Amino acid sequence: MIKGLLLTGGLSQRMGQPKQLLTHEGETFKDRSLRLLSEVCDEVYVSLPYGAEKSNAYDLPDLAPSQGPLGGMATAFAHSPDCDWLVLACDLPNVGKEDLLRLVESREQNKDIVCYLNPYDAVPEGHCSLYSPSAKVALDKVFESNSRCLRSFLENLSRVELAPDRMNLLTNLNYPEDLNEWKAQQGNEVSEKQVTVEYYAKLREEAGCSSEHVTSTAVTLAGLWEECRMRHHLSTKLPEMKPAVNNAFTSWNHVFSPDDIIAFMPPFMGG
Amino acid sequence: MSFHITSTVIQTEKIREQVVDDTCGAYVVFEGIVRNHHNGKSVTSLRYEHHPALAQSTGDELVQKALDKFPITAAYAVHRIGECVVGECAVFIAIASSHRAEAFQACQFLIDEIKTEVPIWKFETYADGESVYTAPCPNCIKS
Repeated sequence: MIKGLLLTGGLSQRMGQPKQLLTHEGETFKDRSLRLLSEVCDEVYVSLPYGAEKSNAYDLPDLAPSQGPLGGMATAFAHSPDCDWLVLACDLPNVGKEDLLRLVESREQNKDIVCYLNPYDAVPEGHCSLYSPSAKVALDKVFESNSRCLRSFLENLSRVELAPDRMNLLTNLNYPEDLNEWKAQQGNEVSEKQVTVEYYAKLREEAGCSSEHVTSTAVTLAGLWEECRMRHHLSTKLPEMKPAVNNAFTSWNHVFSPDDIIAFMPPFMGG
Repeated sequence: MSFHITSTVIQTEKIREQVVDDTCGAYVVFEGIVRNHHNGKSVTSLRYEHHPALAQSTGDELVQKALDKFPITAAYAVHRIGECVVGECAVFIAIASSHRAEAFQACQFLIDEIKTEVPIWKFETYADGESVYTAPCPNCIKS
């Protein structure tokens, strides 16, 4: 049996509004994700924060407060420890039914998880994954050590790793600028733009270069930043920085053009 | 334009004659100096980096903004880039005006704006060997 678990997102502080209630084509992200999970799973449950009121038998309030996504998973695994859990976060709007089916069809005996690898940095994605009952054992150990780190949990699982068939499969939306980028991409064919990206100060240190030529499928600077951030594991947060195009400051929603020279700059420290 | 970026020692004593004229009753300067401590650590050296085109254009705009905002006669600002030693002048601002009140205000305005708006970064090396691009500290805030 496969049960689905919808992660509805934490406080959505970076987005400034609950991500699950964002809408596209008349459907909330939550409803879309529930619909996809119900097409693939036998039953679908919704992870809720600790203390939330249940409106039906499929609501799963966390067993403890402030545990992050691992808290939602731990609650689900405790609820039904003998089945597979297909976990999906509601802020992965490019994931479709075929992508979930592929996880299910790729299941292997004696593996804890089937997951996609981020195409930019090959890091396993835990928010769109199929967990076997054996993953519960590993998760219990993580909780015993007082960790709530999803990444180190995943690193200790035996994994079936899938390469996404497209670069933007695992796009997730954190800031309003990410949402704007995603909306700008909908309904348009993916097109590539060749640009030059310049990195300054700490970003240059982390990227390992002061500039590079990039082929981007993004529409806005926010999308281009996300591509570069994932590729180089850049640590600065989008709202802390200022972008510039061709030596003029601009906004993250700016639609850039082929051959533009884009500068990503961390917070200034002159004077 | 009176915003300057230089990789050599700032000749602060030569700036007054470029800024003050006979109408001026006030001359206010701010000299930012490389100090030997930051967040409790001992600084041994420091390097300023910048985005050349944007630092110049933004600096120019800020000087013009000060001239537009305050009834002053002249505004001059110069910022170092490259390696600096402790005790050296890193940034120098000079304001000349008929009267002192607006000169003080314009000087405060200009240094506050330069610190937050001009794409310049500070790379510090400490006595323990660590080096880091600094982040704004609680004291680096606008008044």
